[in-house]
Amino acid sequence: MTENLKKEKLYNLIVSLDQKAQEYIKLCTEFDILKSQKNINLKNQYCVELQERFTKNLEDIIKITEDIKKFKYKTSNN
Amino acid sequence: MNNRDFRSLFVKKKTVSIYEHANDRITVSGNDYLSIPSREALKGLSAEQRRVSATDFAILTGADTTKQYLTNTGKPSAWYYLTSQYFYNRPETVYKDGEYSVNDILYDNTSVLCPTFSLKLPGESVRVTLTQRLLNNNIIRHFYTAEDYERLYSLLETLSTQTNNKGETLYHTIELGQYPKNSVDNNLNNTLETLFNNGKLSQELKPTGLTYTMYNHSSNAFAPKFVPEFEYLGKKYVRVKPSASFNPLNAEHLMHDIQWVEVEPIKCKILNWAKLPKFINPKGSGIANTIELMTEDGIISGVPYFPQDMFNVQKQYFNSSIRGFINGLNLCEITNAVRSSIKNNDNFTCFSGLFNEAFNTAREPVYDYVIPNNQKIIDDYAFNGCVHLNSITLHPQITHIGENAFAGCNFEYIYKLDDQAILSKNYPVNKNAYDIIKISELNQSIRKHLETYIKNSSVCITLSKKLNKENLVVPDKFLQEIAKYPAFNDFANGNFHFFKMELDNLLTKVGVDNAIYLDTYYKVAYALGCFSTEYIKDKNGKDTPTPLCQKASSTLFRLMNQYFDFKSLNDTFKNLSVDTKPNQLFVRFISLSNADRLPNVEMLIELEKNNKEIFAKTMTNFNKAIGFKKYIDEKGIPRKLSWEETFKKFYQYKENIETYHSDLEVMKVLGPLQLSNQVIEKVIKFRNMARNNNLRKNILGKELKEETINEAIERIKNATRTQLINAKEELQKLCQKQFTYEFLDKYDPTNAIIGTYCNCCANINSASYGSDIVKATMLSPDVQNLVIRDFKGDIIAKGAMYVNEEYGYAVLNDFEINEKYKTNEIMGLPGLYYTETNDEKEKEQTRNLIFKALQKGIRDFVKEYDKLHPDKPMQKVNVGLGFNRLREQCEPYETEKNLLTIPQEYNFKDAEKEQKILYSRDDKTTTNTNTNTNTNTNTNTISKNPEPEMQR
Repeated sequence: MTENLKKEKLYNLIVSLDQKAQEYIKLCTEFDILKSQKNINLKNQYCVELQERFTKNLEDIIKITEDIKKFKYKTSNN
Repeated sequence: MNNRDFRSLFVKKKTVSIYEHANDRITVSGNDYLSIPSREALKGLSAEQRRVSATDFAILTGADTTKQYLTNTGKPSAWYYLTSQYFYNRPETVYKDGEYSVNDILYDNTSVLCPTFSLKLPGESVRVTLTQRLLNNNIIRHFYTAEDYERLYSLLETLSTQTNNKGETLYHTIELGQYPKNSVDNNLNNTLETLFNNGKLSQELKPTGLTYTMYNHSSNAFAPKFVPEFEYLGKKYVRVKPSASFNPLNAEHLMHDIQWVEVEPIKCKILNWAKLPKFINPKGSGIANTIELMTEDGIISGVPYFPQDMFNVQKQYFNSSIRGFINGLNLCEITNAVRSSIKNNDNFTCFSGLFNEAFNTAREPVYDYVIPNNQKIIDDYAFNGCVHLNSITLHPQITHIGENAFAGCNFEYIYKLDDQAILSKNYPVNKNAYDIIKISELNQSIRKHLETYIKNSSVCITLSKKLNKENLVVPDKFLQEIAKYPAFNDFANGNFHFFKMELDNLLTKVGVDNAIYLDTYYKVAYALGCFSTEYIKDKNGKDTPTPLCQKASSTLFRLMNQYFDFKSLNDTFKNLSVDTKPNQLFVRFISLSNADRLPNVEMLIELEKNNKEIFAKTMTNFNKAIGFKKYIDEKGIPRKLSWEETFKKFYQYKENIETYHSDLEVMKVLGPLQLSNQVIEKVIKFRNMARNNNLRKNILGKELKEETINEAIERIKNATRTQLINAKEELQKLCQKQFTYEFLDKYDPTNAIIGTYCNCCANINSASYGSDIVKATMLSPDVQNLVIRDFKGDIIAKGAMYVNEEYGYAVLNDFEINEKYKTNEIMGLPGLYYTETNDEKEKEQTRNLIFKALQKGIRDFVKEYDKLHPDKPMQKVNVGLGFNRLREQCEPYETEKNLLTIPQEYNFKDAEKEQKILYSRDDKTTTNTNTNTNTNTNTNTISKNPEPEMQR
């Protein structure tokens, strides 16, 4: 892996993690609003969707973490 | 340390005391400059992050710390109170392990105080958009004077980042004000104490006139102790006599009877770093209009939550002694009778006490101190070492003067003025002063002398008030006798109508051994008419059958019992020779026994001599046991236990106290239900039994429970947060391991001080050969520095390289690296560093990366060099092993048999004895014997490989 490629890959990882972190913050805010309205139950479709979005967000972050680990492994072996 | 008054930057904030029970939420607010942490402020912090340490000064004032639990900066942890309530009648605390806890014993004065406070920010600097400003009408635009700006910028100069052992940022800090903090080392302690005792005060050790107040809490009353400040060689120190509750087991290094402590700026954690404007935090959102701060360490101890444990109302923060103390209330005003004194001070002026002492470094010294009327006790060593004081004025209501209260003050005269006693360095100028005595001519201690005077005065005033209340007047025939005693002036205008009683009974009760007091009693008794044989007269002026002395004696008895409780025992105890000084609470403790049980006291003293811990434990236990005397039963009715029952209850509690802490969850669930202790104890007992038997929590061996959607989202949310943190840490590590090489431009001034970055002697002014190398890298055309920069761009490694164009070789003197990346080095052979192989793996990997960057630099250099010199390409690059910090990385390379030479004036000493071949053009070499014109004859191996490859 060339130096430029390494830098680009690292930059992409930082940006994508940052995006997911921003998304997480937004989700937390929405969840706090729901909690303050005491409107959390299974009948509320919005709640279910929020849970799904949280799950998706977590999965994405896990994926990025794995990418980071792979990148680390590759760069340390070079 | 600048002398500044920072108080104008402080903003008053609401002090919130919250009690949550079922659906009730009671919020009580005050309006204070200083507060203590609340549960809400600590929200989101882990137990480890909640721990705080104590300064040496706090330990000397009684802070209870433990090495069992460490803070995230590696210091022993202390415990502290919170503003929040756990039950309606229990203040919440953070225990030494960082867990939330409760403390039933409000007397406990071993907590540390970490004041929290807010500093205003200039309105103009609050980075908010116009829309935000319109939406948030409550954004305060603080008015800032030019001096305020100056103060703020002086604070921001001290801005720093606190990191843990791994280099991760924990929090940001600023420094303001000043307060005693760390103890000095043994040598300095001895030096300062010797200077103090030798009277070299004005020459070398100068008193600044400032003092710091610490409180002793005994007999449910507060007594201040003043710690004087001195200047020595530009630094400030205080001379501290450890408080009665100081536990030497907490700090072995504080072994001196008098401990000197350095006065340092107070380091404060910034609590709202992310919200600060960009001129403070470049990444801050700028929505804050104040800087929220909390002192990094507990700065002082010795102040209990409340002096007594009687009323629930006292157990709320707004009534606590702590709130009063940090906001400048004179704690002597806090008594049980005036239990709302703190609450009533909802608007503290705060320009005295701790607030002033800590945050106004420009305060004026006090040279003439007048003991306030509400202070009844002068503590042991209260003014010890206050050499700057010119005078101290004592009022007659003082009931006790401690041992060595005025030691080391250099007073010369003692005199009386009105009904005050004055200690002074100078002869009184006031003509009304009387009883002037030169202290050097006193045949007893100052304390004894003052005590006699004060006892007389206080007896007189107390009796006077009482007698006036009962409409009793002094008979004319005693006036002449009474007039001899100035203390009895209050009786001078009255008449006695007392009855006769035998004096013998009185003397028997008082105790013939109490000579000091006996004199007083005689005088009082005489004045009251106890010696009179007259008969009292009735309303019509006729004699009644009751003698005057009888009435007088009974009155005296009643008053004595009311005002002189336990006095004789107190004296008995003091007369015994004990190494450990008597404590008021201890005296009270032993006085709980009657006179017949006095041998028990001697036994205790004997035990104390042999094992000092017993005294401390007894004292601590007694302090804690008091809390059990009065309690509210299950029906909410106040009850009072006998002392025997109290101690029994206490010891039962003590046995269970550890379990109470570990089973806090039981208390959290059952506590608010106000069940009896019996129920709670049983629950805890059963749980412990289950735990001891290793009982599985669930039959299935795992938790089986249907999750609500709320819990599900919370779970995912927390998991995501952990995942995010992990990912971020991994990325940071990756970024930190970016090392790049650079051949430093010869005109770059950094060349001159390159050793500063890499911890070696290569500096322009170096006394060693480093200066020659610097000279060569800056002035010689054939020498240049190869440096390595980290991801921030800072230089962290270097090697000075000499290039011989004539023969096509290069030699690096060695590789030097920054302290941060070094391994443990020990001297192996003379002049050589030996690198330990069993070092941390992580550090070793980092050094490998640095070495790789150096290799890359050399490789690229050779490539470019060969392009420029196609006829005479680079044949070989060697590195010296002398003081080579990357010796381990160089070790696998082939050792040079015929050392390559470097001009002598460059002084490449590290490459003179041993060299490793980092690059060789071709292994299939033609041996070319060349004679280097500069030095001795050497045989160089020249390779013909066209592609530069590192040899390995």
